[in-house]
Amino acid sequence: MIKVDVTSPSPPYEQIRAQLAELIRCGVLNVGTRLPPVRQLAADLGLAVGTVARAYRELERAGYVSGKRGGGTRVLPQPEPQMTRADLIEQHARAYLTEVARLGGSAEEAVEAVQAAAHADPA
Amino acid sequence: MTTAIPLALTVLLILASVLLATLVSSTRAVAPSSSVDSGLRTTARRLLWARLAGLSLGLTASWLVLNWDGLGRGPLLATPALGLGILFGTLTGEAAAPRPHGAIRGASLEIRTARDYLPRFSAPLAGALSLVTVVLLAVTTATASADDMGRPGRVLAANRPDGTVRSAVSPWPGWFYAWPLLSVLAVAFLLSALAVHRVVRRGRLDLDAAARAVDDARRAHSARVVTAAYGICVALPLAGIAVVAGDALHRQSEFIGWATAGTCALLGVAVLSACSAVWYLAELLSRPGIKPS
Repeated sequence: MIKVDVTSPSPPYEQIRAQLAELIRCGVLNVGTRLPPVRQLAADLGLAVGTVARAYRELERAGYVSGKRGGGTRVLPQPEPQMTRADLIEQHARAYLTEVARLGGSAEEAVEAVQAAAHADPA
Repeated sequence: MTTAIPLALTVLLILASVLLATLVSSTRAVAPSSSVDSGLRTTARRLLWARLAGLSLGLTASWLVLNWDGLGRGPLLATPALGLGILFGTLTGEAAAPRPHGAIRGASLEIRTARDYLPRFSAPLAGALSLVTVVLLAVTTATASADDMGRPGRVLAANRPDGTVRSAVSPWPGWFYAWPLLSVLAVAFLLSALAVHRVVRRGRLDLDAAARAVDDARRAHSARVVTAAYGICVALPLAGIAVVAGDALHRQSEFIGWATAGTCALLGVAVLSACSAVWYLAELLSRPGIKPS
């Protein structure tokens, strides 16, 4: 699943690129997995085709994927050791707790907020 | 008497389709409406209205085409005109579906293809019927001759060795009937391809798993409507062509040796096409739904 915040200062293509790169690095998207066609992902996100195409181009340049005409865009093998999905979730949790602490909140408050958010948006 | 038989056959065909549609719909469980996203409801509403508008357009076009000429081309093209209207309505409805909006948008990384939504039986059947139509029209065009008014491809004639006509029967579905039908079928195929492409590629709103299943069921229903509309465009004219060609072959006494076998084969094609038309009409009338899983 990919989420894009069109009000964020980070441009949508960069948000897509960063999320896909993360999914590839932690092994959620395995070697050879085909990414959705540019037009389909653009339609699903309500973005211009060029925005998604740019994200795919950046991923191709960084060696995450390879795009072939007619064969789609597929995930390439990664040379560096892959971060596991659990490691990545833990890393995001630590970053979130740091933000909550900076605002003067406790770990309990952080957990309650996560539970409320999960209840409001199960996806 | 001459109009009573076609009328009775039409009523029988519609009744069989309604019965089949009821049976097909009862095997598909409808999703609970409480779990359906408001965006999906808007999509469903727009699709329904666009299809109904397309149906009205198709019925009007069909009525106008029916009286095109007195040589049988009107009735031949009436059903494809109806199918074209439904296809146009479905395509318009798909194009009018709401696009993802809002500040935060989500998309899954699934890959949707036409194969995911096209019906497994109806779509290959429509392809097979199209192939049979093209082959049959190619054969009838190759064997047709001009009629006494000089219209090419309208009679089945047996010639003497000196080239003069010994006997001729009409109507025979030669080029005179083939070109308008093939032109309309080409347009229908193009509209079907565009509509299916739109069904697959139109944006999916940010949905949970249950709503995604409902969205998939709606897309599958749209693909079923497109296939059924195209199938009707092909099946009924094919049945008509086969009956007319079989009748002409039966009446052409010069071909007595192989006419019986040819007539039987053509009647077989006509029966299969008519059964296919009933199936497609039932598919058009069936309700969308999803399986409980």
